[in-house]
Amino acid sequence: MNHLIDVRSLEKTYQNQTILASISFSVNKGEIAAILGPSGCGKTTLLRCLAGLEPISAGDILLKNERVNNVETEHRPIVLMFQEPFLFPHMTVLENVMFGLKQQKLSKKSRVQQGLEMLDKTEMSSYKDTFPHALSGGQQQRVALARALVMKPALLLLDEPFSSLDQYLRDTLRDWVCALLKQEGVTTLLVTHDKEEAMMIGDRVILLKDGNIQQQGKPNEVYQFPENENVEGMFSDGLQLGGTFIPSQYLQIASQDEQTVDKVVSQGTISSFFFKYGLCFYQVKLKEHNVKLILHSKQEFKEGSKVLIMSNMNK
Amino acid sequence: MKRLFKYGLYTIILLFLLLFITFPVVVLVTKSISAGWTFPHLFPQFFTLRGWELLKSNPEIVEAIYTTVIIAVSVVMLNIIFALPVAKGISHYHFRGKTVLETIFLLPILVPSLAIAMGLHLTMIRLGLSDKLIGVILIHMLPTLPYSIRMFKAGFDQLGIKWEEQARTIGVKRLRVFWTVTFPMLAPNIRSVALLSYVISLSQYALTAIIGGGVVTTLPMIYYPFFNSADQMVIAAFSIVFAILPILFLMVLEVFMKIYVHIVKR
Amino acid sequence: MKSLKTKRPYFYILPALLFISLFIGYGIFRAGVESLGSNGSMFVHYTALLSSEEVYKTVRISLYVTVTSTLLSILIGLGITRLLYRFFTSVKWKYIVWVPIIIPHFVAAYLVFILFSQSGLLSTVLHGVNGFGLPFPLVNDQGYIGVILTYIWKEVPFVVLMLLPIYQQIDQRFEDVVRTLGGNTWQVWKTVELPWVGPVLLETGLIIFAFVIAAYEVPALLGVTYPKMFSVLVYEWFYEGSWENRPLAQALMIVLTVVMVISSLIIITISKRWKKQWAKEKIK
Repeated sequence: MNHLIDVRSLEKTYQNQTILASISFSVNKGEIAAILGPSGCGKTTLLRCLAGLEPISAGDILLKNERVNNVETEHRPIVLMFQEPFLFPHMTVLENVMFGLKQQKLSKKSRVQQGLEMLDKTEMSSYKDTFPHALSGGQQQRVALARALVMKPALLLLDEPFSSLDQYLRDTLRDWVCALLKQEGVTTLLVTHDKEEAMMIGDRVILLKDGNIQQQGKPNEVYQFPENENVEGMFSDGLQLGGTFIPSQYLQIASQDEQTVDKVVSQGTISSFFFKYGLCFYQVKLKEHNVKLILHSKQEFKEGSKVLIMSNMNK
Repeated sequence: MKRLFKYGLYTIILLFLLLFITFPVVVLVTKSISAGWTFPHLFPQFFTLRGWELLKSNPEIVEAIYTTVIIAVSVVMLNIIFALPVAKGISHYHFRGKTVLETIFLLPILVPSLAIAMGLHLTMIRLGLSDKLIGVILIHMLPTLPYSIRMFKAGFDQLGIKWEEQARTIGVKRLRVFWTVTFPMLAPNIRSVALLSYVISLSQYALTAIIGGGVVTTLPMIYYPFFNSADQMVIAAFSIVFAILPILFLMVLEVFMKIYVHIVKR
Repeated sequence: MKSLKTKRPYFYILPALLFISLFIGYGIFRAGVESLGSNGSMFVHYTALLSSEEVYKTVRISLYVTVTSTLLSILIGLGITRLLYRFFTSVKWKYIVWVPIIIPHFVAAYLVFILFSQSGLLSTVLHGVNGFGLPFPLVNDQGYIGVILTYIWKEVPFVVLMLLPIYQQIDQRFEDVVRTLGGNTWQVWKTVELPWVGPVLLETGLIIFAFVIAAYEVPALLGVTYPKMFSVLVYEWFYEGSWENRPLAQALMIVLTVVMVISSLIIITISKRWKKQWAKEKIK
């Protein structure tokens, strides 16, 4: 098997509460997997279990086919990065990056060399003698990443590493981190509650809700073929109709008097519209079960006008 | 207008506080160098360093300073050694009986320490700990340890557990994480704990007298007989020594902490 | 492995716990044993305490000094903290509060002595006005005013240091909410500050009370020979003559210890309950 990490029926209970119920998944070497889930779904706990910061209640964690359930955090070749960078304030940037290397028996010279190399890769080498408090949030995250990567971890765990940054910084840093991880070939497991982030970064997505994995697979596959209602709500866009799910790409808005060969699946009222990425989107309030649906249309509709929802899925 | 009044009031209160705290100290310092500043003379007759010279030339006092500092520094170190793990345990873990334990750790300052010292007196003699520095050091732990635990706990509460977790997941062992990350980051709390336990140890008369059996001569042992009899200049100067010692200690501690962080980072 | 993880906090706590329980437990036990009478009448020294006029006066003066010092320190400390905590956000000012903290109690007693004794500065100034100085003693006086002044000077900064972090924790917006809803200062105190400050105030008061009632250093210097405060009386008994009053000293201290333990437990329980009412303990 070339699975780098294999999680088998992992369970975690805390004070008689089930936080994770029988989680199984695996990540291949060099792959970036994104765990997506709403807050409270247990995704952070899952990362903490993998890092060894929380004992697991049942199941197995296999790293390179070896069971690491009882291996202490510091002995697992897994590095976890939290939401905040947690740079040690009494150490300079370079000292922070070299922090973990000291545990290995390396000469000071090679420690400095490795540290500087990694700072070069994260484009922070000009700040090597700066103390963390003088850095911006994005710079701090870069240093934290350098500190993690310099250890050459078998697996890197990222717990919403961009969520404490503002929107613009988040977008630029995300692309940059993603490219660096790919370039270094670091196997990564990223946790996020942002589905776009999961789609952009993840080679694969794992959807977690209520302590259970709902579905996992390539982002586009999961998006188009959600397996249950939870996934439909969390990840896909579309319309849930009496047991069947119609993805948004098959749906269209049509005015009531329009003649069409497509099947009418629902009716509703345009409640508002907005523009994004050069397209116009309409929010339609459906007649049945008080559902709101957002769809793009090239046709123009007025707010309040009654419309039909058509499907061309089975053509 | 109301705002101005409010700020005026604040300033007055602040000045009053300043006066309340510093005025007695200023009088004390002046008194140590003024001759003939006694009732009913409102002002000193002349200034002299005679009080300080008398103090300096007293071999008993110089000796007592050594004893006092040795005891106080040992008390500080023992406090850090005992209190740090306790505070860490109480702050970062949840376990059964925590509330009860927290109360137990407060007991030494709630129960009269004189009662304990008197109870231990005969046993200390039997164990040969009485009349020795070690006995006095141990008994000084009673009025200091609860404060140290409290102050360190506040430090650990503020720090949280994530710094240590971050360091460990990078691959550094617990003990090393403690010395290189946690300990330096607790610097403000170490400063407070050291200063307070040092001062409390310096302030003990009754406990030292009972357990030290009059053989362990700390500064307070000499200060008490001085209080009513001696030259006012000398006793004023003597009093100032008690304030200078903690300040000197703090300065030395600061240097040590700088050196420590430097070594740890290498 | 797992068992080590759950037991770890106990390992952290064990050394200090052993030290404290051994010291306190054994100390009190020995004091208890030595306080008992030898032949038949075990509690002879306790009954002797009950019938002693001097002990009665000691209890009264000790309680009076302790309650006065504690209450005044708490009130003044609370007032100062409330008025000035915004100023104390800059670190510079905090050092002023540390000044009385680093000065030993007996030196503080000497400060009060040079200011308020009959030959002190206040008396000297008054002498310039009325020709004879202080009309009544403020130090070594029956009312223990000098002792109380010393404790206030020492303990007010302690109260401020205990309360300051609490006040700086309180979200200022709570006060704004109460004010915009039309609340006055009293309502701000009652609804915003008291739930946070109250439990700490109780504990701080307890610590000061416990310290003052059993401390020897200050009343030994600024008190009077009759009536004496607890520790001064006990210390005297302990060393008197050929130690024949030692059991009496031990007995009095045992009584004080029992009373302190019980009242401490009650106050700590109240304080903990109070805290729990509004703040669930954080889970990790």
